[in-house]
Amino acid sequence: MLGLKTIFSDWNKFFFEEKPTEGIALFRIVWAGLLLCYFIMDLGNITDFYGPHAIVSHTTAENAFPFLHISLFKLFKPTYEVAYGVMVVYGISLFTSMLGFFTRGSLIVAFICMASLHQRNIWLLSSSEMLMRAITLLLICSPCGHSLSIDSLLGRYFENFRQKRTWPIWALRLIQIQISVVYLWTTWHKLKGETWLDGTAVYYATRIEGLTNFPLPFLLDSPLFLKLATWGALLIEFSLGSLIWVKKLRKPVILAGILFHLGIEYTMSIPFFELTMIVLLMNFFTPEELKAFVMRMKDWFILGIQDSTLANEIKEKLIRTVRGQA
Amino acid sequence: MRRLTKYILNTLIVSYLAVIYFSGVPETNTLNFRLKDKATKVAFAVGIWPSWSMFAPNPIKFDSKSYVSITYKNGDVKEYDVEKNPDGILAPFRKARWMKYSQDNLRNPNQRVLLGPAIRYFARKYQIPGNPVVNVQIKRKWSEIHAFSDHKIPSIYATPRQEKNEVLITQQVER
Repeated sequence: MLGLKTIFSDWNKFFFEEKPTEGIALFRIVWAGLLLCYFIMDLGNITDFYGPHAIVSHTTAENAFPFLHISLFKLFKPTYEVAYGVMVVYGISLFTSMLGFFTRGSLIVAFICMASLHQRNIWLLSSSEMLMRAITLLLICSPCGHSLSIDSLLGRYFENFRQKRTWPIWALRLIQIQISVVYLWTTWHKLKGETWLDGTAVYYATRIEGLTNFPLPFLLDSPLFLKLATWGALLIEFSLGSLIWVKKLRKPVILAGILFHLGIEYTMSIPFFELTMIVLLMNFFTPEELKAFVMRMKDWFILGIQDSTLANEIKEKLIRTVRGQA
Repeated sequence: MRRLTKYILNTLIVSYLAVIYFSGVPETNTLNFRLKDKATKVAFAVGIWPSWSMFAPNPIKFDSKSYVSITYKNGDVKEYDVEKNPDGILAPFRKARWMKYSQDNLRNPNQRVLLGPAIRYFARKYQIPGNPVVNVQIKRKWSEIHAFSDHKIPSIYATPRQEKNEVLITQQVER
């Protein structure tokens, strides 16, 4: 009985402990900003991918995906007006989500538009899009607009907008679990492939011409390095799904994860995925750590504006550095 | 927090965890199979179905590009890259979706459903007034990556590969 009580108490502490909202608010800004960049990059593809004469017809998309799903293209006729309309609403809702203006409503609208665009042509989607949907859905459930937002600013003047600055962090926990699942899932699937076990997977992955980015000839031509990189990738991905939960190992694992994703970003061109994963790892810093970071940034920013002497000193130092007089 | 709110939240948390677990694990037994089916339907409906197979179980061992060959009424034949190829520093981001569509899906034998709509799309896209498109062919050019060797690694930049061609579909355009 005692064991069961301990489990319930730990469950409660894990999911419902009250924490400051600044951390999840900071994540909202970065996340919505990332989605907005992704949206901007997709603007040139509206007629090709989402219009009535797109490369995959609406009927083909619907027939290939016979499950119940969220799609504005099912609700309205799949015309150019609807395609452009969904894109416009999506862009605006991402922008207002980033600013934190009617945050929850904005995120819900952004999620519906995102899901509709994704379902319109599922053959364009990669793992990062899957993650974008899952994480945005969870973000809707969090009070990510209670801090660092226009909503919180309005709360100073209007009673209706006034919100608590702490929250039971269950939605953040689900985001963290979701991230861990991604890493564990991919590790488990990779362990079924012979190239990951014999250490040759990184060799083949880095030889795909469409995915090459900046060259790293000395290292990527070394059999020893390629094998170590393959097994190292497995180890880091496993750690990011499991050891990241161990308090003492958390920060080293996050750092290893960031370096791992930056390394992939340098050598391989997998647009947005590595950036998405790096941004997501931010959620493993505690809400207190993120709040402290936000406070430091705020102080630094306010100090920078108020203390014109300091601003002038920095400016002069920069000028001296540029002129080589430092 | 009110008792009812907490009860609802706990149900939500357990349901979410169950959905991501059962929609992700393989069907190893009957219970698993039944729950997986239900969980997958929910995951699709909500839009959170799992697909995290980055280079798993193995990275592909070939390079593949898809092309479309257009025959016009006057006999001219023109070949175009299926992917859009924008320039500039943001090019990889702008063409990401085209790459996914062309390199992973259009050439994939399991996704033949894409070929018909693609034919119609390209016939429209490359239409020239007064010289209609009469035939559209989609093909892929591909080359196998050299096998790994413990003694000498073939450099990606210096070693030429043998390119192969495969016609995915040829279709006359009805007028």
